[in-house]
Amino acid sequence: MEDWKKELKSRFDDFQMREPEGLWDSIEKELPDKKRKVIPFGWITLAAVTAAAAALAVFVVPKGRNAGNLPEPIAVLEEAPASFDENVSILPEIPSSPKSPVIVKSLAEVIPVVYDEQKSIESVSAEEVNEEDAQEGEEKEFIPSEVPSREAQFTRRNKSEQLDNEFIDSPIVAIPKKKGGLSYKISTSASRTSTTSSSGYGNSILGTRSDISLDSYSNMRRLLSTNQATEKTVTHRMPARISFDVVYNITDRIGIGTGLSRTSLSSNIHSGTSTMYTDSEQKMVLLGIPISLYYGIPLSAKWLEVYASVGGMWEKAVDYSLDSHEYIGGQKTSAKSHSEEVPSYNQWSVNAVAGVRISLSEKSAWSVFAEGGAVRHFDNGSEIPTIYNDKPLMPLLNFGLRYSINN
Amino acid sequence: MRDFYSSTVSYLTGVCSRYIPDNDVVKDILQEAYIKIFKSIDKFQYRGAGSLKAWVTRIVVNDCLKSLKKKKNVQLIDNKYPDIPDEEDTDPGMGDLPMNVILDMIRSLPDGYRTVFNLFVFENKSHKEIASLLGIKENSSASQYFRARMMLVEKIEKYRKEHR
Repeated sequence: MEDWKKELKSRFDDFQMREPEGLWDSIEKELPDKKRKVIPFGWITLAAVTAAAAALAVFVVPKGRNAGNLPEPIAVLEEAPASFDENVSILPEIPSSPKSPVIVKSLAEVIPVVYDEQKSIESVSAEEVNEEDAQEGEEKEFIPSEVPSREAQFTRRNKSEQLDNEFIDSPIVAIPKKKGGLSYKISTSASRTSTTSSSGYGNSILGTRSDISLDSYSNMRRLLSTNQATEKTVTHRMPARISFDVVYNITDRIGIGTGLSRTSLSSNIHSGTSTMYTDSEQKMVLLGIPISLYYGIPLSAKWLEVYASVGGMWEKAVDYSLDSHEYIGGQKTSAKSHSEEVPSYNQWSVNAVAGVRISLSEKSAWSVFAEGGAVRHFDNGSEIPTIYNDKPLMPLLNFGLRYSINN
Repeated sequence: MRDFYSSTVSYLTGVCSRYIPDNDVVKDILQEAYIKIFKSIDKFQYRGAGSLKAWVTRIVVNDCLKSLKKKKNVQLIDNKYPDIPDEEDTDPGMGDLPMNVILDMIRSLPDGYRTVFNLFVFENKSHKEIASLLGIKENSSASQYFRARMMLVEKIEKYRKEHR
């Protein structure tokens, strides 16, 4: 290319022109409200319950990090390029966020550029033509000439699941007082705080609009911070559950029960680079209907009973909130979002527990119990990160207070 | 999303303005282009520094070409200048002119000249590729480019005389 063309092209590559007035407003009006993706929920056949539920004791909980501790820094990413485009706006130096598990050596003290490009336009492949353009067959597609460019060096991190404490659930326990008797109980769970952390490959959340898919945002954030790989860390808190159960005693030992439960799931989602990231707080409330089969073994002491139960539960999301805040250089910006659109989230699970129930007195309807076992949550195809998805098979440990009402 | 818009709109406005002289049309084209960008950003594959810029530029340029093709009176042939083969692609002499002056000169070219000039100089397309894009002959593309350059030379000389 002749020199004058190169120079002219170079000058126009740096050329900035004032945007048309009102352009952003008109763009914002045209952006559609995207409904959350509805993941079809396929019916899952309940797994065969184990006849040896009584042998299930408290699981040995794998050792993991304590609540609140974050993963150690994992890796060093690619170094920054030698030069940046002149038009790029460089933000002031701010130390990288202590929360980030990723260290970028060359950019540890510099916030990445907002719009980092080379001076010459590089090519993109034909596959990147958006569908609208590709479908207009009569019009010729403009495709820049091929220019080899560096491949993005994003590291993919394997998920690391670390459960700190046991999952505490409100039990559904048979209270075989009388043969054929009907009894129901109100029980609550004693929840402990615990976390499950997992890190994944970069999906950051811009969080400014809930009508654009998370992937879109993650791409934009990733592209704006082109010299750093993004990280996503999801920290789940232990679910808190309260339930009300009704148990029908078929015999003095066997009972079948159902009821209603309310579970609160809470997670923190951190995504982005070490200097530009989004922190989101996700909360979801699920209502569940459990079904369980109980087998009680009354002991010589009538106030003491050991039991085992197996069962399943179907839960549905009835409340949801997602609050996101954007951070640049560790500083909270004014950019934030709030969403309360309840997703279509259905969750099946099966559980098996064994426990001990102690009546407060021989004739009292109140008792305390302790039980342990396991719960298995089935994949419901949802993209919403929950502890159910990250840790489908979880130990179950519960202590509680129960009130039984018999005929 | 707003950050992305803010960091790219000035550049893309410049790109669009090179193709479209009407500012109202520039606004319409940018609006449609940004909506396309936001809707399809998740399909974009990052290939290193420069690929994002090239991708969004391509979307805007394509929309500009579509807009120009919709115009029924797009002038692609002009008989003012002889059909001289483009043997010497000499510098029209705009190197020291202010950018806004150069832009105004380019925008003042007839649609066909301007389109071919932009595609040849800024998008680095060959005349064969331009001919395929615009549905014209390769020789016609070369002629249009030559005439665009001649017209720019006239405008530059006139500007220099007026601003001595």
